[in-house]
Amino acid sequence: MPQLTKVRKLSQARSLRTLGVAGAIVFVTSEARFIAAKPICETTYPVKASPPEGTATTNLAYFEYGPTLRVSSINFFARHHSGYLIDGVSNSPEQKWMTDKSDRHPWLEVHFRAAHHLAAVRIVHAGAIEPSTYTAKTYTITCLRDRKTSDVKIVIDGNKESRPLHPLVCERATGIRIDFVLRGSEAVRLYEVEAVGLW
Amino acid sequence: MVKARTLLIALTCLGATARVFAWAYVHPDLHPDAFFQYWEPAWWHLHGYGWHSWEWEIGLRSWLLPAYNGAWIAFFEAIGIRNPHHLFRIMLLHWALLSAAIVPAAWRMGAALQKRFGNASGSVSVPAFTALFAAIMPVLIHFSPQTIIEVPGTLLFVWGYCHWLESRVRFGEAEARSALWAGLALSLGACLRIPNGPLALVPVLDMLLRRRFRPALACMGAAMIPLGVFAITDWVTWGRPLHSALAFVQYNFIEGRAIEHGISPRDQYFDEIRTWLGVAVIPLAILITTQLRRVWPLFLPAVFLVCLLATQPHKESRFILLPWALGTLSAGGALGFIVSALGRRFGRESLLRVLGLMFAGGVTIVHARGLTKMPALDYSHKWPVYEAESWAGTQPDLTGLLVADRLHLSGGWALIGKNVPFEVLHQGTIGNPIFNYAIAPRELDALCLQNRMHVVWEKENFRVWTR
Repeated sequence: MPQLTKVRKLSQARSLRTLGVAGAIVFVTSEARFIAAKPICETTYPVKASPPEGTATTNLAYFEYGPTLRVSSINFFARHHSGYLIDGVSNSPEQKWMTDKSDRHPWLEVHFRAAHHLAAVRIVHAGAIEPSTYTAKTYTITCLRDRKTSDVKIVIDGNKESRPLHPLVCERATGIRIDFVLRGSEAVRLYEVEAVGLW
Repeated sequence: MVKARTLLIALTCLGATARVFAWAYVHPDLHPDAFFQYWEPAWWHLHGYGWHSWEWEIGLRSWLLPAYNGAWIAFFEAIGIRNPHHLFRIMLLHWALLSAAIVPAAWRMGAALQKRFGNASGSVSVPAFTALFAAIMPVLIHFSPQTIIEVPGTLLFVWGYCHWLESRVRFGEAEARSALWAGLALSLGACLRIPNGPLALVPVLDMLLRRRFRPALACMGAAMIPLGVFAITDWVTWGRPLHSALAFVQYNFIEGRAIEHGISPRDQYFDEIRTWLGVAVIPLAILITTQLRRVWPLFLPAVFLVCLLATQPHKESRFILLPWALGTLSAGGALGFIVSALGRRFGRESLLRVLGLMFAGGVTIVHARGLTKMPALDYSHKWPVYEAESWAGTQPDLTGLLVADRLHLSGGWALIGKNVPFEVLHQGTIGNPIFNYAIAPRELDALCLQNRMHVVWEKENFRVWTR
């Protein structure tokens, strides 16, 4: 009998050890997944509307048309979310997109649900309401297209306007991308980005 | 021996059941820090969105605990559990169950105290009552299903003290081994919850005063391991070894900026202890005083830490969770010593144990009633807000969410589970069309109606509105 108890105890200990090792492996694997995570700051908005019939040009990036918005970073401390870029509102100092201070290569991308004809890109810089030093001076706007067609770019250097409209004619545009160059400023602050084009 | 083991298992199960009950039905109030100190950062790192509270801007916190929580999020998401509210509830359950590990530690502490200060009659009264108090004390149960740092911090300190007390009744290799485990647990506990740090020095001081140099060395050597891990983690994440600890000390103790988060009365902790324990405070005080000679290793450090923390202008109930735990264990141990001593003197220890059980039950009831008298910082009515946030997060047409009250008093992006604008509900934000959902108490019905919203979900005083 004592022999039997000993065998049972040994078997229990072995089972517990196996369970412990399996648990440790699962945890370490999950921890590695956590540490290695490099998520993209991305939101796909649901389609809620389409432009009114007969409209000549429209803002293709407007959130109600269901775009996907990707940004390099968001200043979550101040809650300046990227969604404010495409909300159609540009008069509230709180409701703007601001990049994180650690982000030294800020960019944003708006992907449309379908390909459209793009005519221009309008940007409302923070300088429109806040100090003019908050207006981004150097940036590149790219019209994104499918892989078979090359992208169209314009480089803006020395911008001083707070609400510039940058002409960028581009057929079958699937989206736009803006890459910013930080010169002296700590972050990018924008109130609105509009992709002006035909639906 | 088998009987004692069965009793220990039963008490641990009792402690776990009480904690699961609190998790499932009581919904203890969750301090905003339960979300924003260690849960939301883990979510942000894993998903790319989540609020950064001020601590995470200046590097006041270590990434170790978010990394622990984050590993669990990664695991549960990998097996298909993706609802943010479910994930958070699972994590609360995890901490509730893990905190029941205080019961076996309490048993072992009781046994060590009995061996050191009691007799060798083989009675299990001291460990059993110490473990019983740890299992059923309402304040410990109240704080168990929480993602706050005090839960693991307290658990580690209790296990550290358990090994320290065991080292006091052991010799040679066994003594050094216990001291080593004490050093590991106390150092990890102190790194997690820095203000508890002074209590980590008590065992080392005790060993040095008793001229137990080898165990003291083992304890201090082992303490370097968690300290090293913390230092390296901070180095990698914040760019300076022990950055979060240094920033914490500078912010709270050198610059005294904790007062920016509220100044509390000097006697808040003592008042809270008196209010929460109610009339039970008198018999418990008598109990501990009569047995102070035996339970001092638990009780005196608890008193010391309460007095030390009372000198700080900013106070919160959870800050003294460790003193609550040590005080509870000393009360349980004291009751066990009295039952054991009276049993030896007059016989009928079984009857005395029943009386002891009745006493413990009475204390629990009185204390549980006292605990309902929450202090000024009461967030217990916030549960419907957390549920509303999770519900709104599951709506496919959600493009932005507003919530009444300050944002940091909600559950954050980690409960919404969607990277959409999230702001405080007021006249200036409700007009923005991107905010198509709003969570508001009934007092704000008029504001939502004015903005052509209608109710789609409600619970208690809170409603979810949409356009």
